[in-house]
Amino acid sequence: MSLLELNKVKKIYQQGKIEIPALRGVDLNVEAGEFTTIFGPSGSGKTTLLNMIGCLDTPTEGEIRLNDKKVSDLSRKELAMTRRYNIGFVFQSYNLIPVLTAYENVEFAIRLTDHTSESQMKEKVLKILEEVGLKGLESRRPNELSGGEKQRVAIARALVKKPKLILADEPTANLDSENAAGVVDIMRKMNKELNTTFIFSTHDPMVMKYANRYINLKDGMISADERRV
Amino acid sequence: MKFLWNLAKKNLSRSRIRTSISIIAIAFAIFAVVFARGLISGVLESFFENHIHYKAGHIRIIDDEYKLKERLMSLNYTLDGFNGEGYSEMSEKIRSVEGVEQVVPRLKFGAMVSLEDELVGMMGWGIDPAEEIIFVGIDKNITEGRMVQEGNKEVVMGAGLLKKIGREVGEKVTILYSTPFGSFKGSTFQIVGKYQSDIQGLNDKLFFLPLGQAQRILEMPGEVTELLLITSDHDKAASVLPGLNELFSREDESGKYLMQLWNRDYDLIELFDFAVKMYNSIYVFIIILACFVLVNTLIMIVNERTREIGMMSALGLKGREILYLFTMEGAIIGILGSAVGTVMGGIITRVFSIVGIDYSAAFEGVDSTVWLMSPIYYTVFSLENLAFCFTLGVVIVTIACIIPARKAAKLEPTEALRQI
Amino acid sequence: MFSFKLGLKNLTRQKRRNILIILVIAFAFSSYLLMDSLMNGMEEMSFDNIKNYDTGNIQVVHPEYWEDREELLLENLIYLNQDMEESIKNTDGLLGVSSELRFKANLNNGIDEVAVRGVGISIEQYNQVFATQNYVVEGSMFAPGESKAVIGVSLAELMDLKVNDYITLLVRTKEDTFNTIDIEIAGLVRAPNPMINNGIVFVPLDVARQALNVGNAVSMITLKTVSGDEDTLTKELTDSFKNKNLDLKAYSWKESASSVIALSAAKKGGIGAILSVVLLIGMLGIINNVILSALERTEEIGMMKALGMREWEIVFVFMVEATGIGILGGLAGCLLGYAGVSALVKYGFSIAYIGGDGSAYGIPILDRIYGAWNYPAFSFLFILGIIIAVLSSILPSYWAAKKDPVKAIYHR
Repeated sequence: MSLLELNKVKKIYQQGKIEIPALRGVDLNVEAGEFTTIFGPSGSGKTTLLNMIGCLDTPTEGEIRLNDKKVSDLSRKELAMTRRYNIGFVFQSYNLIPVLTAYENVEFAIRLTDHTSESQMKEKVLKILEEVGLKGLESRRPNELSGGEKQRVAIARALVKKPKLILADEPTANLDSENAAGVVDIMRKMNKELNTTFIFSTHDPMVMKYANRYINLKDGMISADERRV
Repeated sequence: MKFLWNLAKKNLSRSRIRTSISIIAIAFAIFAVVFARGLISGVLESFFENHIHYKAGHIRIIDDEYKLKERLMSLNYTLDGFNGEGYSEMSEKIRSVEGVEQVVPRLKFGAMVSLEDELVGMMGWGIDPAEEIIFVGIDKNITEGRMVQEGNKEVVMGAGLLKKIGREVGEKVTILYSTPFGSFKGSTFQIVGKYQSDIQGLNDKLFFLPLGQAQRILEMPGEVTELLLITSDHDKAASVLPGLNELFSREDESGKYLMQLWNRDYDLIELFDFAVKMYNSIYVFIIILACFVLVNTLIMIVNERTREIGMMSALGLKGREILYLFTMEGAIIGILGSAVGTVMGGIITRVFSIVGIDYSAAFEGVDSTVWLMSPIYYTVFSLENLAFCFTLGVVIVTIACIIPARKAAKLEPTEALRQI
Repeated sequence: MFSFKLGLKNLTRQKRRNILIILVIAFAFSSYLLMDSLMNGMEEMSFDNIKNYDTGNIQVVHPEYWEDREELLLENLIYLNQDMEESIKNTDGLLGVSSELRFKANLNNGIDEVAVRGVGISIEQYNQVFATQNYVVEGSMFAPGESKAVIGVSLAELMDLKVNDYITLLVRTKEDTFNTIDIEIAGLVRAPNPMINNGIVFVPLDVARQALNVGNAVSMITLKTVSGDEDTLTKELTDSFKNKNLDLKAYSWKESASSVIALSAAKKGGIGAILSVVLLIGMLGIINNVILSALERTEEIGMMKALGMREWEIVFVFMVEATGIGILGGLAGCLLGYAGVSALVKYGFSIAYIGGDGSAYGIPILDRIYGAWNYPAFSFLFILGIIIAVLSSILPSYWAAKKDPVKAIYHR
């Protein structure tokens, strides 16, 4: 059983009278623990695909199964719960809450899922921040952090609740190559240590090489799918 | 500049909900102001009308000393014309002064009716029926019977008064009074009419009789207590004063007469003036508060478009043009909001100018002879009010918009472009 | 709890925007509190004017006399007897008892005549119940046994009278024959109650009784009590009269104040209307702020949804923020109002510059109005502020939370 199964997924956006197909039928299986990159030029449907996987959007046609559950059968509440417990998101523009410190931004995510004691929660947040290399910066606000640091906070936020799957949409697009490499390193490290499944999109060939599975998306279809050992 | 105006218009549809909220806020404030002004001018107009009709005319001429003794209804300080020639010659001369349209004589005196166990005090007015019909339209308030006619021994009495003394129209009544020479007398009159105005105090106390009859029984031929002068427009009554002064300095040697302008020589009017000024500042304040909502929106718009402003300055738009662009955006909201508010306010003042708002409960127990207040108020529906409120709204809103617009205009292009 | 904290922190994000709306609410509240305080001050003064110069705290009269008390008839008078005196004497908590004989009279100065209310009083008793003696501006109150009169300054001015002048009161006796009281003026009063100044002549009780030929009758007995005790004492007295089969009833001053109460209710309606207009603008301001914040934070809302936050949780965050505006506005308004009311209570508000002497128009106030404390109004407004903030934030918060997460994240 795969963690994620996509079966002939199509997505058509309606813009006025014009129909814009974003995905034209995607079949995909992702196993737990994979570190997958989706590569493709802008407009190839990467974001749409990730949104669909992340239960933020629904396909026009086809079927998505997550954890062997059909996503289209889930109610809005169940979708929210799936996102809450099973999926972590990392965005291109970090999307941190500016009034909260790095620590609080991470804490925010765990508060939604974890109802253990305060001290345990604190321990978890501090540990994950240390793992992404932000020790000592916990009380800084987003505007006091560099781009790379912000993205690490975002990764920590996605990781802290130990989801099965983390989706990252162009996580390195706003970073210079040095920071980009750092961020991907951390993702890879987490993938190995925690066996968290990662799917991230990018158009940066440099980042691509870290992945152990490489999917090329072209005009809404998968044109290549390679695994490397 | 035309294209900036067009751009401002288009910019407003970027976030319709945000624009609409600002419009609603301004519209609501203007609506409230239109209604409040309509109501207050209704109250004032009702009061002024009563004040002019029953007390002051546009200009009132009395004996200087009468002012102090008016409450006594004293007959010792009367008008007997210039140098004693009689009031009617005096009226004639006053009528010839430019701007004076009508001269209404009144002879007010205290009187009583004796019932079995008590004396009922009354207020008697000797009047010229023809003049009163033109001036007050007094005949419209006669609900039963008819108006008195000059020469006849007849009276019209207030409805409350008739009830109090237990008489009906058609019956006779003996009225007791003192002449200015101190003799206490009685005369019998036919009651020919019942009078009902919306001023309860007058209904309960007042009776009319023809002026000639009043002068005859009081033994004061040719005398009245006051002359009310009516001009074409009560707001311009003061403009006839120079002509009157000239006439009086020429004709009157005694200098004992006093001219009272309806809106200046009465304390109560000053009280109202103060209230109106206070209300006007409240209106401005309410609109300013509504502007806060709009200013918030505009500040956000400026923040949101920082890059766009940078781009515009890069394209060579001057600071003044950017100021103009953003001010216009606010001004359009001001114009739309004011228009909506004015229309709604116009509708509601129109409705209440027909229906009226009943205040009688609030005025129970208040002496209405003093306040001359009618208990039902009608709002005034006037284009002047609507135009005033619309203009006030647009002007205040536009001024308020300059604050955020200046912020936009002052941005440095490089800085503006750098920001996200 | 965390969402709550987040809501509060969000309050600080657009400080200027929130402060403007807080100002709107604060302004509405503080001005309402000020006006309310002035109204209550005026009302209290009016009540004092009724209590201290006209009715005392309690009036004891025949029920039939009460109906027509304005007519000042010489019917249904009280003939004092032991039973009555006992009933009154046995009532605890009375600070003063005074008998009055009220009558219609025409005051004549030899030239003019004016209708006045004559009041026969026994001066020592009267001074126990009423405060008039403190406002004698010329001469003095008449001494016990002295056959002199006291009138108001306005009346004296009107009739050209001075202390030591003689006046004639034309009255009708109980049998309807005319009689006169010729009496010397002992003093002039200028009391805060305009009725005293304009139209009352005080004469000794025995002089009035004799002139009116009513024997030892009085119109009413006025009683002074500690304020607040009126209702219980009124009941106690009425019961005691009933037990003794006396045709008497006790009336609290409040029954004479109904017109004042009605008038101030109307005025309060007026300032209530202004308050509600301003508050509605405040509500629109809060709605606007929530919408503006939501527009600014669409990406954040999207992120929250991606994190698995439910809609109502997002609504909650926005509502906490809006409620914060309501609380701060209410707090600021109450504080400002507190300061303003303190000043009003202490220093008062001069109405002299408004022009015109209000007392001539039946406004029972002289030159200065003092505010009065109305503590429930503060808590009422504070709670009102919160309720308004909560109510007005619900809809726009839902609007914000309903946004499509995909569009939200990628900004349309």
